[in-house]
Amino acid sequence: MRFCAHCGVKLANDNPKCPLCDMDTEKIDDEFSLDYPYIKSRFTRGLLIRLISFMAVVFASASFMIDHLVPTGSPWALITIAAIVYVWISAMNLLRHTPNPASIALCQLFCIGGLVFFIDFFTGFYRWSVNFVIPFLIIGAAIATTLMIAIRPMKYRAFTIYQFVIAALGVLSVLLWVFGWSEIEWPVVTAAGVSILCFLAMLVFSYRRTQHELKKRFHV
Amino acid sequence: MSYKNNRSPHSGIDETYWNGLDNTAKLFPSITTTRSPNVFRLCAVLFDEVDPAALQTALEKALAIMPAFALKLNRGLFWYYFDVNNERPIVTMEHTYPCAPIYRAGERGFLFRVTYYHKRINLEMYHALADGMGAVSFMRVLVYCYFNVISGSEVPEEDIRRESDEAARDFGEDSFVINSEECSSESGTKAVREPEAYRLGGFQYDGTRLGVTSAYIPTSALLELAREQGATLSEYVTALLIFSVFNTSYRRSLGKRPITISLPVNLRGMFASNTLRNFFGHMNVGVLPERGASFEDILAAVKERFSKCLTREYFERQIASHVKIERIPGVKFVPIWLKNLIMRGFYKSSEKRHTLTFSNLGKITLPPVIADRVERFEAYIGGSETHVKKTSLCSYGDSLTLSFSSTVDDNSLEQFLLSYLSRKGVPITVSSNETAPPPKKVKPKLSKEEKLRAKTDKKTEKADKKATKKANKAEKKAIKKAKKEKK
Repeated sequence: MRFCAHCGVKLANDNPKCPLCDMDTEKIDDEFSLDYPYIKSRFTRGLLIRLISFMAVVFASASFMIDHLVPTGSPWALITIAAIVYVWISAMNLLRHTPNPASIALCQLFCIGGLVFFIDFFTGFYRWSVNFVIPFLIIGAAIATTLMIAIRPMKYRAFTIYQFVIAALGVLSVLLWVFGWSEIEWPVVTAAGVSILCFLAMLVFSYRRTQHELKKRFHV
Repeated sequence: MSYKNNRSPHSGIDETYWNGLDNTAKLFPSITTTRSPNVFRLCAVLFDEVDPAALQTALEKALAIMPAFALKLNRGLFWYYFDVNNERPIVTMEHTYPCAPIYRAGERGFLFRVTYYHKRINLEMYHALADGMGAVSFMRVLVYCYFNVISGSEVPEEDIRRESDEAARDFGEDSFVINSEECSSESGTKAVREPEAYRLGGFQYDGTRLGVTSAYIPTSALLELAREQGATLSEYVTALLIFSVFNTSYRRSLGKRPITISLPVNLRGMFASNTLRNFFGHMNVGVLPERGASFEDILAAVKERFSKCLTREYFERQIASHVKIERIPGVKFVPIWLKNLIMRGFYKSSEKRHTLTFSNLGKITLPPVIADRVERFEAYIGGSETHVKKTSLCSYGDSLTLSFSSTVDDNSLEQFLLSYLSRKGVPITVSSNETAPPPKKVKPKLSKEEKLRAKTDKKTEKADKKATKKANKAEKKAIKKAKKEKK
């Protein structure tokens, strides 16, 4: 043990300096306790997130500057920036969460959907995104989530809510056609049908679990 | 697979179990950040080194006795909720700063953490899951199970059994809502909006670093000092804290802002409750000291404030007002992200009204069989970005621990308080986590000749090894051949 004459206290560990006043201490006896481990600062996830974010800003501003200095008349810089935003959101999603594949699928559905719509909108709006890509993305996500449930039924609880959201999106996608945004009917209707059927399958094969899971998520 | 009778493998809870958060706990997930993790730590310091394998078994047993802690936190559309956690809790050696974040959005692990370091068992708890008293109950069971595993006996002591029965009965009840029916917001005097308090500053540590300083004091010595002044332990230490702030960094705010200590008060004694979840109220003790105020002046003001606040009426009003917010029609249907924003705003404004938090966990007891195998208990409150220092106190037998946790590089408050006590004749032993880095391994410098010699030594060593390996192989082959020939 050590003793700090300035503060008048004994010190449990063997540090030569007093933790209170930072003055030198004197040794009384050889007994001392190991109180705390020494903790090294490490490369943290926070730093990685900052690094990715900064790189995204660098690339975005570089493409903007090049576009400004060498004008081509096409909105390529906007599309590049949209793609960078997409990559950034995906990276953040992957870094932040403990990997739940269904949540990644839903995030990708939103991000790719947004990205293709953006590209379509700024390249003449031929409606290929709303006509085909978005409905097929919904179909893909619904089928992928169903497969995940089939492969890993133990993780059922974590997947249910995503399947529900995808089904809701499938139904909402019909609105694209109703409001005249999308010109072709069959992809939208197929998306709604497939996503609802996937959700129904979940209800039919394990009704109580699904009901229980939804009750938890929507409790007030 | 029948869904109905499935039980969680480690805690034995029904897999369909889930529960909403209690009234106070609802606040914590929305205000939790990496820098303000809302985690507190309870330590039991033993006389012997901790056996990690025994602690692992003990933790699994303790969770089976108290399944109320085997949960994870999930986010619904309108509220957060506790869900059964089927994972196996893992005991690790301490490798982070005290009270490191436990709950992060999107991460679904346990809401507590059990670690060990030499003679110390640490239980770190996320505040949404339990308050200090709930953690003490769990710690008692954990320590009891640990000694049970070590000595090989299986029979739970009467005391622990009773505690676990109570735990099973009141599994996650919301004592605020239950008790609010007998509380009316009109009882007692009307609450006065408290003024903004003086706040401590300093140079902030990086990341999740938390500096902890604890003082081990004989309980009897401190009690005697308090009794001399006719005060309780809580009153005495609160006054001491105010006096220390007043004498260290307060000077510039003299006469403008009061020094206010926020004290969490355990409400289980006042209201009928056995819950393991949160059930505590807050009491703000503020003093606006004048120039040259003495310790006795401050203590008198503190005592007066204590006698005013420490009444059933005061907390009845508090409970009623908390529960009233939850019951405003329509609040239930506000989506959780909007609720988070609003709650963060309210919390920020309420945070301005105190300088320090001081939590007195009181006396911790253990069943007599194992009482003499534990040296002391310690408690720490996790850091916060806006409130840089927090204090807590707990006692076990004659060893009392007063601990400070700090997110700034400034120990003047602790220094003043402890040296004041030592001048009064109280024997104090101080411990801190300001640990020096372990000495680096320095390679001795070698001359050219020595280097050459080392190289040749290595080469001969390698050659020797190869030769022995070859010899071994040849021997094995010979044995095999001999066996075959015998057959």
